[in-house]
Amino acid sequence: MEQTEMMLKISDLSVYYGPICALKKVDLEVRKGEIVALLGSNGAGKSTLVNTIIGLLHAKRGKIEFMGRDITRQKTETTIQSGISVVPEGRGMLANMTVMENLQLGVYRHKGVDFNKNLEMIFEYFPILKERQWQAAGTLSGGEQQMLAISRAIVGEPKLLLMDELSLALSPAYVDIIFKALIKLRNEKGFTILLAEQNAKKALQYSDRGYVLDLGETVLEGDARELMGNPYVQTAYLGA
Amino acid sequence: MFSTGTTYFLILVIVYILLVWGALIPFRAGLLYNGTVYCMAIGGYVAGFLSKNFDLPFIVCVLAAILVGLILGFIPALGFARTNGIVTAISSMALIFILESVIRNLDFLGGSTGMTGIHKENHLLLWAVILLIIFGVFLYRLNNSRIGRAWEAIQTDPQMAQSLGVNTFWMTVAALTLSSVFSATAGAVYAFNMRVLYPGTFSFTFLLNIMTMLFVGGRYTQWGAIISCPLLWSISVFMPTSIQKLSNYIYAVILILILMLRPEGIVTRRMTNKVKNFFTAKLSRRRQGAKA
Repeated sequence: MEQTEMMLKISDLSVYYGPICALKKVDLEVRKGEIVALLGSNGAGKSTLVNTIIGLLHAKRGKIEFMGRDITRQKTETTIQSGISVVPEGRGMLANMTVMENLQLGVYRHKGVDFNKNLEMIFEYFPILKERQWQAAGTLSGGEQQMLAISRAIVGEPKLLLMDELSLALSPAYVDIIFKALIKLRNEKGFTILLAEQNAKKALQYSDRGYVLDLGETVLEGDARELMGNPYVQTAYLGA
Repeated sequence: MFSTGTTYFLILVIVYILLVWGALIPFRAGLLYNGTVYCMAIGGYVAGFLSKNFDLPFIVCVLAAILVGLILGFIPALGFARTNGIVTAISSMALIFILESVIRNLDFLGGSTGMTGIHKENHLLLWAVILLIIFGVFLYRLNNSRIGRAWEAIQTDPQMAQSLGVNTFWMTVAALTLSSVFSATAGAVYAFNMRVLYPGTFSFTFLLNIMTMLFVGGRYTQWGAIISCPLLWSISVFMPTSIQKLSNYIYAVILILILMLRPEGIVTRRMTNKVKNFFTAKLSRRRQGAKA
């Protein structure tokens, strides 16, 4: 694995909410082109990690490197500009704005991106969004909103995509559609994806490697297939 | 063209529309900003002072009012951008009271007795209409621009806006500063229309009028002001004198009724979206037709 370029390297990261420790000495690596699953139950620190990477939360200790550059204390907008996009938990729809306006906000910080070209690509992947482009985002169904959230994140051609609880409140059929679209996108566009997920089964099925967080600590890491077979993961997350 | 009374009325309506727009801009960025009257007073007194003492033409006074309003709006904005919700509303209201007591103690602005001797501008209505159109078009373009979308994103979900790359702090400062420009312009027009300025005019009651007009007209679109300002202002002008005294009560009743029956105001976002979609759909269909 050493030959591929390092995309995101998190070392010894600790994050606190006041006196409460949300992340404790987390180490994590994402290489170029990988899909990495970040598993854990409620309160394990998945969203905290995602929010710390983009700078909405600040680390007490540790370092986050993106493509070799230290982004630990960087402002959110600079991080977004340098090529990280996020699909937030609960989709983060701007419900009163139209689908088109939501997509336009996806390139808010991205200079030199061909919005119209990317828009066509997105409409190819998710034709339903083209039909609904003048509709308010809040009137879309849950699955369509998730498609829009993903589209908004990729329209600015990010290098790294952070996804928080992609499968939350989606029917299993939709989860498959969305994951398949993601795999296709990764293969065609070469995105790197970090996937924070509670749904361990689906996440491991579609990712290359995985990390398991529990109470803010990394308890397991490894190849997705290995993790799927791991007895701890099976009892704790797969319900076997 | 119009009688003196009508001209006076129309100019005041325009002043109110500009002020409501001034209150609308911060609202789009999710702030309930009550500094509109503060900036209006600044604009009014700057324009009045320049006209009275230096006999400068109307448009120069307006530009000076805009400049001073911009600066004095920008400085408190740096603080307000860090606050939200009720804190912004209350602390920005304080600006009105601070400025009022400052003006009362400045003799060169006329102090408590007021400022008189502002020169007459013969084409004031024409100027006011021109300013209204310029600011209206500007606001419309702005609402449908990158900045307008960023404001709306901040209003809906500041954290989401941030994670899309919006610098929420500076965008909020920009909204408040722009609001000051609108209010200062309104103040300058007001000064030339009244030709007398009293510190007591720029008071809490005035703010209530503006907020009523904003909420009755519709606080999500710029078109609401164009309907609500003439409507509400005519209540206190054209009604018989016996009712005029009650205009504040009437405003309150209208505000309560609107908030209960039509919470988004007379002109809602759905209405404007429908109109907009009608035209965009028509345009795109025509474009597709041209391609085929």
